[in-house]
Formats: sequence, structure tokens, C-alpha cells
Amino acid sequence: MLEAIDRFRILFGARPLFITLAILALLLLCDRVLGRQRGATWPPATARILGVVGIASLLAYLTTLIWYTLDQHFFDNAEPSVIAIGWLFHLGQPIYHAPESAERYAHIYGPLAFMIHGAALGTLGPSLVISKALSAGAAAAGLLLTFLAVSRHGPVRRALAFAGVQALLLMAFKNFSYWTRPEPLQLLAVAASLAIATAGQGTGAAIGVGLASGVLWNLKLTGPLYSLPIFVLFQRRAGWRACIIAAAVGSIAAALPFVLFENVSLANYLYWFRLSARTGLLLSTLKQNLEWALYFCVPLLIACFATPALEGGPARRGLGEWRLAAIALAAAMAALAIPAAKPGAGPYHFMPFLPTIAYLVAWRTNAFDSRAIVEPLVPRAVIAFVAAAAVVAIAQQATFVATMIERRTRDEAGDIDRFARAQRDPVAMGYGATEAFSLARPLLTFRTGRYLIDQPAVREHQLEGIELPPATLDALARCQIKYWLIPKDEPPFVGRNVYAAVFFRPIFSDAFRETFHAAYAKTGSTEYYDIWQCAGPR
Amino acid sequence: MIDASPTARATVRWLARSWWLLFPAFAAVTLRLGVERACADPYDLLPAITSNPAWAWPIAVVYVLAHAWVVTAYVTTTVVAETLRPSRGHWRALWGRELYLIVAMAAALVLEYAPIALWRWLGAAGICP
Repeated sequence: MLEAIDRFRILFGARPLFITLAILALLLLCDRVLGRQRGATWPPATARILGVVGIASLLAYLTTLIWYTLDQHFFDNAEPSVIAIGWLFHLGQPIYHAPESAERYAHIYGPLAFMIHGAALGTLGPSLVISKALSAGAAAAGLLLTFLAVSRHGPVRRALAFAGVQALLLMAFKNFSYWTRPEPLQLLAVAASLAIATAGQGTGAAIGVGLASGVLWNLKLTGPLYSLPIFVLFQRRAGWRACIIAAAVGSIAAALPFVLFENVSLANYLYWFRLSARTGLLLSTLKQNLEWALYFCVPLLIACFATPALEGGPARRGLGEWRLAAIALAAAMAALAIPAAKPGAGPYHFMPFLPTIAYLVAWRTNAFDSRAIVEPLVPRAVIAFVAAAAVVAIAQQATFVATMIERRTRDEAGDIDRFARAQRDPVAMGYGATEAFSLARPLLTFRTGRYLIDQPAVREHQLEGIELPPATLDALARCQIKYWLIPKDEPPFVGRNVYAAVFFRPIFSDAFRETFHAAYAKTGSTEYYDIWQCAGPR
Repeated sequence: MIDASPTARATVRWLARSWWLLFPAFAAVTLRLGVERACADPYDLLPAITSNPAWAWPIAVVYVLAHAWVVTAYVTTTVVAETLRPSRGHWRALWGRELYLIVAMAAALVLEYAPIALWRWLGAAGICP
């Protein structure tokens, strides 16, 4: 069964628009067979179905979110990187190391992606669960703020259904909305700026929108694209002056970490970012991005036809503003499709648009009346859209949950802790042929305050044409790390780069492996790891 | 004849003009990608070209704009026709003699979204150089 779901996920997991159109065609075929007429009212079951799906999705989302948060295991290989670098920041070490430095962990996320985790770990103590709880809290708060913004345009029951459908769409991206990478913080920043922009008008609101936007712009350089429709809404509500104040506050807030902290180097950040910009694009990912962008636009289109826009009626009021915001949203999504086609990126970059989409749909349908005459295609399109989201979400969640259930049977954290506690010299996590056993690596960084090699970063650097520098090999040869834990029975550092552009090359060069084998020898094993100990510095 | 707003008419005019810039480039990209799907790795398209940002970004911009063009044409027609499923009459009434622009762009999109299995079959049938 799970295998069949996984096959479906691989074939259709990235085809939500295709699935929507297929379901819609099926529903229309049923209509034709049953001889239904044009110009019907909403089928009474539609609202009930949406309500039930919404509540069920909310419960499922929050359940998986809590289930994932309370466990020490990770799903994705870059999640631990953010936590480890966050802890380094707390200790005063650089977030972006120099190009020639021995350490290899620089990523291209903005500094706040690490600093927020560093601050939480520094305040509450170093723990994987603290970082996971921070991300989960941001995702849940983002959903709550969206619910509050949406509830301004209709009854609570309807706002709950909207939040539920948003949760369903987030579940179509496995755990990406609450993993420890920047996306949960982006979701929160978008929802916060949206909630403030649609509620307030004065200088206070402008500062609020600016601060939330500043965080968003700092997290990733594509941040301003998510802000575009929100700024359009804010400009129409509060005017140009407030909008300019918000933009100025946002720019200052986004730049502040580079100014205030010595260990946040703008020059190094720009260096790594410029390198990353050289990696080109994947056209197959671009096509997927466009399909997701179009799929996310379906509710906006349906919303235009879901409520008869009677002259002077509530659906007519603010129609110009709504159109402008919807056009800004569509333009931002089209623009984002290109940077989101870089190797390693993908359709999950569209997640932070969801609060704005939910808000615009709620606003456009605020005069919704189930007794109104609409063309039969409209309710069918709603059902097809939600059904497609459910199908993709179930397929993605099945893979995610099955992977995590398997990972939860192991206790790498306990194993690492037992070994590291018995040593006085530095211990670091190494890499073998696979990656899953190396995911608890921040535990060692918490203990030693060192993070020499981050495999996801090395993989990115290789894609950008940067191999490991002599300083890293030198650090290895001089046994800067006394013990390396390598996943049991795997040869050390033999992983291959999964990016097609580097043709599955070994991530670590022959010279690196030779240096490692010259300096270290396998001296024992723990339950999950082989211990490679320094045989004496050269 | 349907009652189109000045905005809708202006949009149609703008789309008709931009078609001449966009369609030849998009058609060329689509055909090249088709050959790639038929004759090379269908999941890693034009790797040598797309790994160079100087080529990749302009190709991506053309690709995205072609999709945006079709979506704008569809949305404009639905808004004017006041239905999600505009009839042939609606399309003809709004687009008039320019309807072939939409047909050509839609044909290019159909080609782009044709199943990979079809391209592989064409490749096996001998279209590859």
C-alpha cells in the first residue's frame, strides 16, 4: 500500500493542477451523465465538505507538527545545519565563514534564519527540541494570524475552514512548513505583516508591517516578492506615506543584523550568495514551480465567480483594490518561479504566499451566499481543488510519516551523548555513504562549540565550483577533531553529490579521504557509529 | 459581440502585440525541449545551457512569460464572458481575427506539456539527429 502511495507521489506529487483538472473533468462528466442544468445554486454539501475537510486538516496538521517537534530526529538533511550554525552564532562564531577558512558550513540563507535559533538555544539551553519547537511555533502562529486576518471577512466557521485548507496545502509539502529551515519563520513574517497591514493604518501599523517585512526580507533575498501584494493592500488602505515608512523600517530591520553583529559578515554573505547565483536553473523544476503557482491561483479565479458581484453589494466594494492585490500576487508568484528553479529549490518556495491567498479569497467571497445562482463549474472547481490538495497531501504525508516512524525506532541522540560524555577531546559527526545517521550532529556542536564540516554546505559549494580548501585538509591532518563518528559499517566521507549538474561526483575529494585515512584510524564502535580516532597529528 | 470593458480591450491589444516578441522565442524553446525529452535525459533538460545563468535566466523568463500570457488571455476572456468556461463564441467575440495568436500559443503549451512517454516514443521512432 505504502509503495503504491509512494509511486503515486513520485508520478503526481508535483502535479496538483493536473490532478485538479482531471477531477474537474470527472465531475463534469458525472454532471453530463446525470443531466444537471446550468445555473444552479451551490450544492448544500459543498460548505459542509469544506468545513469537515478544513477541521480535519487542521487537526492532522497540528498533530503531525507536535509529533515531529517532540522527537529528536530530523526529516531533512539541512535542518540540523541551521541549528548548529545558530548555536555557533550564540557562541560568537561567524555565521558566514571566510571562503578560505577550514570550516565548511556557510549557507545562503539570511542571518536571521540562524540568529533566531541561536537566540532561542542560548536562552532556553541547547536542545534539538527547542529549535524544532521554535519552528513549529512559528508555523502555528502563522496559521493563527492568517485565521485572524481571514475572520475579518466572515464568520469564524468559515475562517476555520480557510485555515484548514491552508493547513492541507502546507501538508502537501511534507514537513517543510515547520522544519528548522527558514520557511516557518517566513510564514509567520508574511502572516504578521498581512494581519497588521489589513487591520491598521497609522504610523504604528507602518512600523509593524515594516518590522515583519524586514525579518522576511532578511531570511531570503526573495522576501520582497512575498511582501509585494501585502504592500499593495497596505498602500491602498493607509496611503503612500505609511507604505514608505514600512518599506524604510523593513530595509533597516533587514540590514540591522549585518551592522550590529561582528560575527555576521556582509562581505562573506555576499560572496557565498554570488557563488550560489552562478549555479544556473533547472527547467524541470521551473515547470513544476509554474504548475504550483497556477494551482495556487485557482482559488483566486474561483473566488471571482463564487459570489455574484451585484452593484453596490459587499463583493463589489473594494473590487479595484482586490484586483490590484491579486495582480501583484500573481506577478510576484511568476517572478519567484525563476529563482525557485535553482538546484535544490522548488515549489515549496510558494508556501509563504498562502496566507495572502487565503486572505484575498476570503475578502472576495465575503458576500458568499449558498443560495446564490452560480455556474455549476464553480462549486465543482472548489471540490476539485480541495480534493487535489488532499490527494497530494496524503501522498506526501505518508512518505514523511513512514520515514519518521522508521527513524524514531533508533536512539542516535542517546548513543552520541553516551560517547561524547566519556571524552574530553573534541568529537565531531562525520559522514558515510548515507545521510540519515548524521542528522543528530548539532548535539556534538552544542558540546564542543565546533562545526568543521557541514555536508549539505559542502555539496552546495561543490555545485558552485568550490572544492574543500587546503585549510580544511590541514585541520584534518592536524587532528583538530580528535574523534569522528561515522555511520556504522560505512566507509568515511564517500557520499556522492545528488545535484545532477555535478554528475553525482564524490562530495569529498580523493585528497580529502587520503588525508583522513592518514590521520585517523577506526578504533571501535558505538551502537550506531564507528569511532575514527586521531592516530597522531602529522 | 460581447460587451468588453476598455481595460479588457487594452489587455487584448497588449497581448496581441507582445505575442510577436514572445511566441517565436517560446516556440523555439518548446521545440528544443521536445527534442531534449525525446533524445536525451528528459529530467535534466539542456544541462549545459541551463547551468549557465547567462542563458538559463533569459530562457526561464521567456518560459514564465509565455505561461503568464496564456493565463492573462484566459482570465481576461473569462472576466468579459462572466463564466469560467468561455464558449468559442466568447473567444471569437473578444479576440476577433487575433484568435489564431491564442491557438498558436496554446498549441505550443500543449506540446510542452505532452507526456514524456510520447517524446520518448518519438525519439525511438527516429526523430533524433
